Amino acid sequence: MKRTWLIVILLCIVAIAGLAYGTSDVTNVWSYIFNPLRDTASISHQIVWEIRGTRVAAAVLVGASLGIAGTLAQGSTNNPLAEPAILGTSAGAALGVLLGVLSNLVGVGSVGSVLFAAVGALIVTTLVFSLAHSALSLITVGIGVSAIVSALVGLTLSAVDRPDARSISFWSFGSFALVTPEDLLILAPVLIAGFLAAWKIAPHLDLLSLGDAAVRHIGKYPQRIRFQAFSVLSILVATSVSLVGTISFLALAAPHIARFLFGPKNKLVVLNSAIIGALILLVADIASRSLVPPYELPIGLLTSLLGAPILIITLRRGKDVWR
Amino acid sequence: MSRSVRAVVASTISLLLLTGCTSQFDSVATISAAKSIAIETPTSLPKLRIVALANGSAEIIDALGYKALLVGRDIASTTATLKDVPIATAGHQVVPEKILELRPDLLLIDNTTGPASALETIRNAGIRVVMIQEAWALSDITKKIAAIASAISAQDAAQNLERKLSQALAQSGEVNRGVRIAFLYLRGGSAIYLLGGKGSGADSLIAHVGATDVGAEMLQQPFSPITSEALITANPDVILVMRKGLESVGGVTGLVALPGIAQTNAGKNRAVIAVDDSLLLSFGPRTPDLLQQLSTAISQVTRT
Repeated sequence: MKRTWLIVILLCIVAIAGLAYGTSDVTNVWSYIFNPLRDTASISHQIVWEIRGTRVAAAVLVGASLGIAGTLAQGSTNNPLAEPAILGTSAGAALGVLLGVLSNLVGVGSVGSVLFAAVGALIVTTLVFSLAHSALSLITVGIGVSAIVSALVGLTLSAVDRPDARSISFWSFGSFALVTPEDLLILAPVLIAGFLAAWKIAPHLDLLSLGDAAVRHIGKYPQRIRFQAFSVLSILVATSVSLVGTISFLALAAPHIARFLFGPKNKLVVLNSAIIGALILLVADIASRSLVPPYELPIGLLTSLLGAPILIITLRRGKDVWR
Repeated sequence: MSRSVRAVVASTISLLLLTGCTSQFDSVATISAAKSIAIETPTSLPKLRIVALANGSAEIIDALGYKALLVGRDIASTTATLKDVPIATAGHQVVPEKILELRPDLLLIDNTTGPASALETIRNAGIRVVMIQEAWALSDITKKIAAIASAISAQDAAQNLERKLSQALAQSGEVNRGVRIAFLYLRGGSAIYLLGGKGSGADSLIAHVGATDVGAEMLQQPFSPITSEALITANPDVILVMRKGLESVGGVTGLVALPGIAQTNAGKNRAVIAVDDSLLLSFGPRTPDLLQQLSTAISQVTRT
């Protein structure tokens, strides 16, 4: 628990750095940060709180959501390779939004589109889940179904000439450039609900690691536990995909790092993977908007660049800690 | 009691009407069409069947008075007078069959025409394929007209057209001093926006009307994703967009809701100019009238 506090403090320091650094130089930036009500009409206040603040908050919320989603994916399938992109969740979310937009029911980036994304993600993840007959085949089937769904999305996008639908194709890049304060009102409740649900499911995921037979012997249903985990991770992933696009690698890396630092107990992994996910994404976002001003760098590439080395070091150091 | 209820309802309605009205005072200007400069059809036309796929080439052939020779055009040539010429591409792609069945003698292409294999097939079928340089600045217009004219042997007509065009361009110049304009390329709400820099095409138009392109000041490349902070710092007075791009983010209200827009002068005054997608960077016979309308629009949206 002591280590958890350390990474929470680190997260706070990085968040404050995120408010202080950006493309432009804000004079007296610290006084605006430590006195959030100072001169609220000024451009400096707007840059620090409305522009940077929104992005810092969004990066923390999305990073935590993806960290939890990755833990649920790996824990429920007993497979260290599992992540939302492989289970078809991300592709399903994109398909859901595309159908919603094409039927003129919702606009891209609206609350309605998040619902469509969640339903699409849940349906495709459940399809993958029901087609598979073992933890290993789940991954193979997931890759196959993801490919089919992504192909459908891509074909539909190239066939329709609608500028709003086209923006879905930008999702593969992922970006916090256009996150608005309204998006936070969707992200925050979903993250809190998702975290609480994952916290409850976590002990059951510990049981799953003993094998399905053992779980049934103590009177629990392994498939039901998996379905619960998939539902929660679908909603978490769908929300972040439909608001900021696909952020690669984070959901895979964060749980591994958490297991290395805090051991395999899933309750701890859920909590710490959320914090580590938030931390990595926050650092990546600060880098994406302040490394090469005035340009905005693609955040998905930065998460890979940051997450992958940490993941590799983790796995080399602690061969048998995480499984 | 009922009277006070009525008063509340009445005031609420009038408030709604008032707020509804404010949106009409938005300083948004839309330019959806521009008059084309053209010269009269020459008395004798060469015997030639032309498919014009190079961006804007069909429009120029029409302006030269050679429209009768056109048997196919590309999807981006959208002027009203070209509506009866069949589109010879599938989307933006060249399909050899579609071109060959029009039995052209000449195919005009530019660097964006593709795929290369389709063009090779068409060349092998004995059709003359001529590459026309793309125009990305006002100074390129005459070069483009000359290139097209020499491909269709219309040099005399081209000289007339160039003379009329340069006269019209000279009349539409330098009216708005000191206005700072940002050209934004928008595609949908949950993506990114790109700022037009040097060579975006808009820089040439903006410079011609005497305004300052903030993107060209900041960026060496035509289009770059920039941070919202950089846009706030650049602080444009007017935002120039393409009409479909503006629609894709949900109109001016959607545009102002994007991070970094509301904090600029343009965002505060909702000073936005939306130009038809195929007109803005067409660099052809419609450009002088576009520039005229653009300078009017700039004065209109910056009038406060």
